[in-house]
Amino acid sequence: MGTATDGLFDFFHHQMIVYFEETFGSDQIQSNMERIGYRVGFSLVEKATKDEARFKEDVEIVKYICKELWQMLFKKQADNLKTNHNGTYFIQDNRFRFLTRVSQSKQYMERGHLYLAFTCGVIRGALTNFGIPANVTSEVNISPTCKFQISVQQNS
Amino acid sequence: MAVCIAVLTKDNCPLYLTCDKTEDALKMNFLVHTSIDVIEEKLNSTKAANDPRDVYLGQLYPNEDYRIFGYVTNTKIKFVVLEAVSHPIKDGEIRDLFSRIHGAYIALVCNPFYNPGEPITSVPFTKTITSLLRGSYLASGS
Repeated sequence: MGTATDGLFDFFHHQMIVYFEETFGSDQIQSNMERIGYRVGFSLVEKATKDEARFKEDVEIVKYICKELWQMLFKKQADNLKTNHNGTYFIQDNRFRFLTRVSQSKQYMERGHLYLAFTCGVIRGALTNFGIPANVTSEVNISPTCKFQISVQQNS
Repeated sequence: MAVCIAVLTKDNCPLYLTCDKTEDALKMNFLVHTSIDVIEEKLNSTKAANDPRDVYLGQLYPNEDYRIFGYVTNTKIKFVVLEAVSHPIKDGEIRDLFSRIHGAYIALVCNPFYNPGEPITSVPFTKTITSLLRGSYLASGS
């Protein structure tokens, strides 16, 4: 993907947020972005794992997301992965692509989570396609560093 | 030449099954159904003799009329191919066949109008699979 399309997607992502705010109202933005991200993540994983060896464990799959999927989407790998070995994973990115485009001033701090919603959906869609139903939430304290929390739904 | 190609989800729901016109569809359904057990066994076995990371499962079990091959993607979608014993296909060609089926399935999933998990009715997909069934994959092509 050349540099021309990189900027294009950043603008497009931002405009999606603006569009949902104008069309459906501020409370609908997050769920809509997440839903779109879900379908994108689902398809992306299908395409990307075509020639990969079979994954045996959940940890391997989450590592794959942090490395290969992050590389595809953000041209870099995720910076940190923590797990409690019980179905919860934390992915940290110190220079999150969409947040680097947003001004760091306090004025826009509350809107930071909107820029993570799409990526939460992508992670959730990817995990679902691997057969791991999970909830993905995000938090941003100091932009452009952000954290994604994956909670794998345990079967009852 | 393959006589039957089937696509199953991770919960073993049939998404798609097509067979050669000369074959009995019911019998093909039955054989694919019986192969599910073998696939599950292969996937869950911890003492795999072959490369346990291979997505291609190889021949699943012998039958007097057909040979049955399995392939499970990383996204737990299963492909089953039945091949008539009278027309043996080389291992490399079977792998190539599965690779093309996988490619067709990926194109299907990337289609935003397809909801994953629903039975497949997409025309390009059925066209590709039907042409693979007839053996046109043997000619050079994408």
